[in-house]
Amino acid sequence: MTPLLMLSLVLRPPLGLDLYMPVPDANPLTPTKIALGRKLFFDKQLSRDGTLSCATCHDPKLAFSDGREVARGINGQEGTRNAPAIINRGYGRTFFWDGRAKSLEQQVLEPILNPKELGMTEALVERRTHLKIAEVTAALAIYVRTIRSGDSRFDRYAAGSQRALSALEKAGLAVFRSKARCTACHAGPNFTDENFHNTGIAWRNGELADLGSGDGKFKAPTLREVARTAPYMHDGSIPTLRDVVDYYDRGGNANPNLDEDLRPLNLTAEEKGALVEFLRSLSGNVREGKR
Amino acid sequence: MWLTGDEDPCCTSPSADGRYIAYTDWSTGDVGIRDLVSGVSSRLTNTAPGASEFAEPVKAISADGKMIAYLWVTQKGEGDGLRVISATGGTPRVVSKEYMLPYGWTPDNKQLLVERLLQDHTWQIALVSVNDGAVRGIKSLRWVNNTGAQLSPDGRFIAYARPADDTSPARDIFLLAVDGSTETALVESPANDSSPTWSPDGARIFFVSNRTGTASLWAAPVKNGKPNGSVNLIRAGFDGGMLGITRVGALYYTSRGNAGSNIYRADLNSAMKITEPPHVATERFLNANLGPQMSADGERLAYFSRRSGPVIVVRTLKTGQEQAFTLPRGANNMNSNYGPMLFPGGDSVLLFASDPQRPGRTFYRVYLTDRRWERIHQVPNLSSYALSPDGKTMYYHDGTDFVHFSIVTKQETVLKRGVSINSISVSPDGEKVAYVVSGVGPKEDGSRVEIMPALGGEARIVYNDSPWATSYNYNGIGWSADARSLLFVRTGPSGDDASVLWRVPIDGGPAEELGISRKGRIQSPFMLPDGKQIYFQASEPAPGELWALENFLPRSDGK
Repeated sequence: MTPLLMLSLVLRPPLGLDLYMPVPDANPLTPTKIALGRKLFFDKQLSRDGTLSCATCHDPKLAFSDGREVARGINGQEGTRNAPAIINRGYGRTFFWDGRAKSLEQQVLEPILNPKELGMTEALVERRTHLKIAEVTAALAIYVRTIRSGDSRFDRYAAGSQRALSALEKAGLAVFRSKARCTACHAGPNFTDENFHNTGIAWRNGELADLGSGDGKFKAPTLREVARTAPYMHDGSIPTLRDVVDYYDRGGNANPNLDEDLRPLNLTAEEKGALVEFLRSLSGNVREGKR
Repeated sequence: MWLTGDEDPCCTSPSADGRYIAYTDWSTGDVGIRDLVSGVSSRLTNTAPGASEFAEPVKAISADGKMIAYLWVTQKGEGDGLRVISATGGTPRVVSKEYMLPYGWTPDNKQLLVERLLQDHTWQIALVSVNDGAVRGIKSLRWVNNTGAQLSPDGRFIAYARPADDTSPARDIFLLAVDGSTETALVESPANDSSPTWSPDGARIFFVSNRTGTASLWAAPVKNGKPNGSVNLIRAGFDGGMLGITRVGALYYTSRGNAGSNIYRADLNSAMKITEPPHVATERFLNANLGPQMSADGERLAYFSRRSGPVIVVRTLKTGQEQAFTLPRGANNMNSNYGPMLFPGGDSVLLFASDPQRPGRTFYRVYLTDRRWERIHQVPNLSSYALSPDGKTMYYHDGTDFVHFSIVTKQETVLKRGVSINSISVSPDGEKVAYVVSGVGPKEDGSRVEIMPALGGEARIVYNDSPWATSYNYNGIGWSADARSLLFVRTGPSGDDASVLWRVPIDGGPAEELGISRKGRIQSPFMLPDGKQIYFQASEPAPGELWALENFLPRSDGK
């Protein structure tokens, strides 16, 4: 198999995702880089004390999230934000909850160098990997681009298979698109508008506990695999999907910068239950590093 | 080449040999094909008049000229879908039941390039198999559409126009590989660049840009899906609707001719009849003025004017003095069926526009002097709306429900569910709201004018009759100065029928004509507070024009 043919197989998107995924000209996808990036992603030598890797907080078994409220770095240090599920980030426009990284190449190095996360230095990374720091970031970014989730029961339903969703899930889909107004932010193949919204989560005791990208706004995350990525929100403060639905049903936490799309929804118990069931149908096949 | 009339070739590339072009016949909604050599038009579908279904104007003729793809739309949404039909007629075949606008065929005639509306109201560029309707989504666009996507002659690349980022609605031209492997910005500028069209050899993309202040035709060299040199001005002052380029290099485009919209004024006598025929009230920029709206105090008139860019004009009625406010570049995605509604004080207006970063439609309060846009509210759909005289409340119809929205508290209240309303107006004292129910459809018994208390309550029919207001006759109601009568616009079921302005007392009494009738569409009727003058907008009908621009391509030998 030629490298190009292999690459085309690697990159064939799962059902429901766009064929086009932006890749910077300066860092083209190659099988070699994908393999290197995968190795680095799971390599605990990329943490100062050798106990953690990228995969610690982005565990493939949990759709590349970690199940904790907030991320935990070396020496048991806790961060302030939830480790997001890094699926379909190749389609992203900005990165981190606050969007401060403009590319995956920018993003992947920051947790490695953050003293509260993996606690490395660039020199230490180069010494341990025998690679230039640019090679490490390029390979990790490329590998992250291969982590994709699609082919869910919802995708099969959208492609025409009427039986792929149950009646309850279909009812939940209808609520998702209409009364619950979810598509105001969770739209498109990746169920996110990649924009930043103040949902009131950061509003505590009359002030913002975290400014996010500004005014308490945080990026709308993908809803793919959402049933596997609890707890929820940027700070992991909501434990279950049903709790999330209840939170939005009451219109979020009122604050001066609350997104105008948030308002009490007046969902019935049945509608809430159907909505949660629909969200569960967004779990599909997570691919990484290979076809 | 063709004075088109009801036969609208908008948005459709000609056949490769330039002989044929597909069109929508707006008198019936049917698909047709025009032989531009013989001058014969042939309808390919056969829809009963008034059937409330039609072919969207975007259509595509196959590379071999034998098939036409089009999107069929029905009022109830049942039977919508992408269809193909032989260019010689016959029974159409449904390719997909999804809402997909066909922009072109692949060179092998096996797939269609489409803009696909997803169920969450976002859009996607996709390829669809003509054989089985299988979809291959190539690039999601969020809430951006009307990209004018065009396949390269070799079928490897798609040229399309979209906003480059979230900071401006102005569009740039991008080249997207059909296999999804790359996307490259071909034309980037602060101006609005749109309507990409490939040269027959695939070495250039022609596009329309307003980078010099007026819309002009430009060309960008391209090679292997990448820019291949600087852009060149081809023709200044080009405001046509680009259709496509034939195999021999003739660029087909549509033109509005001299048709346009004007704002009219007529004097009224004490019986509310006009004393003489209406005359144009806005003499500057004739055929480019629309959407007149009076301020609540009756002192100012605001309207849109289509100049080199979108402009809002505010006229002081006593003095006739006008101030023109240029809107930000790219603001032409605002809807022109409704004019700029002045808030009290006159320094800001209510507009709505589609926002590529948001679903549905967004209401804005636009401060005219500093050009600041303030988002007020977002709705999934919108067919009509009005602003209360105190500027604190909006009334709108979102395609399903009639809604009261407090701009102050952001509270929505549904006033009436499941009706089709195309015109809304609030009484001068803000106590009542009047609206037109189009009443078109198998279970409807006719169009009607109703009023209800402004805060909701029981609706009362003021006037009804067999259907006279289709769902497309927007913004056709207003109040008399004394708030005892309503002005409303009646049209017939056909696009050829004249619009007639009527008046009906709200507390009983027969409706009567005011003596104002236009061949085109009348909109935005309102009366000055003294009851002595009436204003309205009329769109003048004129045949559309199909043109061909020839001998403009550089010689291939470089001489």
